Amino acid sequence: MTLIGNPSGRGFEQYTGEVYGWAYRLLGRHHDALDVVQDVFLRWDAQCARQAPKQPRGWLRRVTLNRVIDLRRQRQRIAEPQASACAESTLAETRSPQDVGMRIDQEALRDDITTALDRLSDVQRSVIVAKVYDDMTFAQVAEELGLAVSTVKTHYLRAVGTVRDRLKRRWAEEESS
Amino acid sequence: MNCTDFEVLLADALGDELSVADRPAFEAHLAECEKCRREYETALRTVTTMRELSGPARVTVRREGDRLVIDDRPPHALRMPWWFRRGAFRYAASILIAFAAGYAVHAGLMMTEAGRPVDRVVAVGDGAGDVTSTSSLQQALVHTHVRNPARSDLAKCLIAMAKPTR
Repeated sequence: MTLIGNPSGRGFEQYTGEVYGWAYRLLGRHHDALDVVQDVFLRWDAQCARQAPKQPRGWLRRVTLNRVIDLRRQRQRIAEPQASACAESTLAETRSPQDVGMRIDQEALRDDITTALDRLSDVQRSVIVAKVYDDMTFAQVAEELGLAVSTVKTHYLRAVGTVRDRLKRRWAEEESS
Repeated sequence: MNCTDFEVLLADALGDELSVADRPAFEAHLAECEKCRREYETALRTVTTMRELSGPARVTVRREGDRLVIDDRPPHALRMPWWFRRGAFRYAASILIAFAAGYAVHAGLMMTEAGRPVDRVVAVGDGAGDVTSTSSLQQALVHTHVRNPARSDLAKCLIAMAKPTR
């Protein structure tokens, strides 16, 4: 069991699953995702003590994605032996050679996608995650972020373009091999 | 539709929000403009690839007083029954299941042997008096018992359980 903070803020249970889901998708490791959940809710707690966010879901998504990016950056700074040890421990959770192959592919894909997300602005990042992973409509995203629908669409297209530029290298490698 | 109009509808198309009214013109432009088609296909592939990232299992969250508690077992552990997560139980269960499966297969093979009518078993007695109305598995177990009584303790137990109360 993990004990998280002392939530003076409201609505923790309601959003924890979503925060965990965003973090897990982009980090791919259960305990890293829990670390992010813990950090995010400590910040939520502090924020609620000052002033509760008007759009809690949007606020949580933005803070979660920023924390995910920070964690990825920290991981990239880990020395090579430690990094390979982490990779081995991740692979140890897998069951078969097919699982190992799939896991490596997913890890590489996560690296590409989070690297691309790192290059986006906070708003672009929130828009693409809300559209792709939360299946929200442009109108819902616009309301949550307090923007015009046309602005959200522009952010979405730019975000997709940035991620596409990153993935193009991957696709070229796949096609050449 | 020209390429500028296409750009306006591209976000809708990628977000599954293209209206029925706009769809024919959009598809017609895709068919005639190579550049726009390539742009749409790569953007769609990007969104599809992002969706390929595996999602998490649900975490369970509950409030205990003024604290929030998350069940932090890994997702695959959440799907296992409690007894399977303990090594000793897991091995014991595996052995038991293997034994039962082997026994059932063995008994099933014996049932297929020619020249072994069930009626012959009825004459043996020993709890098998009502054997013709019992299931095929019980019949198979009775066969096993008749063939080698010393090695069929499980068969004896089952015969005793199947014995009708008088």
